[in-house]
Amino acid sequence: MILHDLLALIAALLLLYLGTRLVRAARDEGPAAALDLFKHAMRQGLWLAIIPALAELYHYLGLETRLGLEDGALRLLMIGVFVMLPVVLIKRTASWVAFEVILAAPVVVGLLREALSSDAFGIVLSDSRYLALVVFAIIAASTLVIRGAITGWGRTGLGVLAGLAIAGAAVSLFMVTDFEVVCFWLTAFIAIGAGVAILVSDRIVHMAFWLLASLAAFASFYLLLGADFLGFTQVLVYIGGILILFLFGVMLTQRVDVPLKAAISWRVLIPGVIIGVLTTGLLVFLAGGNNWSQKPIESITRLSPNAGELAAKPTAFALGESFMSTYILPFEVVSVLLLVAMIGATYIARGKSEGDSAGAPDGEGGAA
Amino acid sequence: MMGSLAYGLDSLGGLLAQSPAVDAGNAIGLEHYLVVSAIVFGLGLLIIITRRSTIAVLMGIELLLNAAGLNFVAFAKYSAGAEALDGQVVTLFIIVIAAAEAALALAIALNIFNSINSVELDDAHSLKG
Repeated sequence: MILHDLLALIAALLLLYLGTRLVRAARDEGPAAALDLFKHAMRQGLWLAIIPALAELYHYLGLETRLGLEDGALRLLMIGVFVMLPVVLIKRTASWVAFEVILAAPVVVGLLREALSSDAFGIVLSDSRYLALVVFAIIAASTLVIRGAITGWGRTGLGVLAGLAIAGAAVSLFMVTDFEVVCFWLTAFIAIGAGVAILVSDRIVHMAFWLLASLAAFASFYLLLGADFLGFTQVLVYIGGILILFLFGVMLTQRVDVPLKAAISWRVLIPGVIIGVLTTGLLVFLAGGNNWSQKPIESITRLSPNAGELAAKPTAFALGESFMSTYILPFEVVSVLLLVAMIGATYIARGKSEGDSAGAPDGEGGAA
Repeated sequence: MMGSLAYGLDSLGGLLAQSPAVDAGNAIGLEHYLVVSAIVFGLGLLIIITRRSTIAVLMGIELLLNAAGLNFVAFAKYSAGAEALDGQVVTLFIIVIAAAEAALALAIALNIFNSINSVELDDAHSLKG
């Protein structure tokens, strides 16, 4: 491919040019000047030329095949990493650095595995698992980064994210025998961590965003359990609907002049926390200690590229059939319930009209 | 040094490869999901107990509903003699009812805010004897 050769050549020349400029600046005027030059070059949009060229260079060097990735995937990832790099270098805020770390982690893992010749582990990850891991990491990172960008997370967040990235890299390097296992633990970490964050955060908008992370983790759980339709319904209804409703509720009911966290009295708090912790302990004890009757593990459908016969199948068709046959009565009842709730919510939340002299809505008069 | 490192990793890899990799103790089972769901349920309960804002309490309720839904799906998948779809159907109903509940409850919260200018639960005590 002559195009690839040309682009790779351009990339190499560009890098050489920038490198010599930087080295010269560093030698003559010190490292600070080199950094300034680099920032200047990046601000001038040089990276817009470098990134695609770099991607072609990677392609030319055959890194994709060496990492065992699909043709386009690694290139996209590399482009992502390098698009982010100047932003990270210029902005130098914790969340951007963390984003870069997480974005780059799969690449680093791939390189490490290549370097250590992973066949010695007796573990062969298929390509799609890498891809899925990458997608998962990006989704998780972007959720956290959005949150960080909104609220300014600082060094703690960077530490947590970098730790997550390193832990994920380590896990996928040494321990992964099963993609499902890694996904489960990551998802469980996010679900529980976000729940704890809702519990301890002191602003209600922060709570709403942590609720977003928790709900997304539950969608991920549903997908892991082979319930694809349910997982996407969770995203549509919970994240797309209920969470937005919560945000509107927060927006319409917050008063800036009153601090949110009025001190709750210890008289209520202590027994409450005791009851909550005891209930949790009891539930965990029951869940983990009970000897549930389970299917033999060989017959359980799995989320794995090489699951073969036991791979989880799409459920939308079967769900639709059972809604229209076995569950027709609950289905109709729930649809009526939704209608009632919709009318009721509209009625309750409607603003007071001009001619409405009797402040609170009064039954028949308001309904007419 | 690289060689000795590679040798060490080789032997580690041998150890890992000897264990019947995927299915034995490593796989995720019913208990994992139940424990996670129990913990999230407990967190939701704690949020409901310790918060005073109506909206925060509603968030706790959403967590409770999610935890229950996860249990249904997990049982449907792993439990012997269960149809996989039944649990999913129940969880879908839960999601629908949660949506209705959230819409109504937030409308009520809005109404409370309009009449007493606060969404703190302790301030809504005009029915108290």
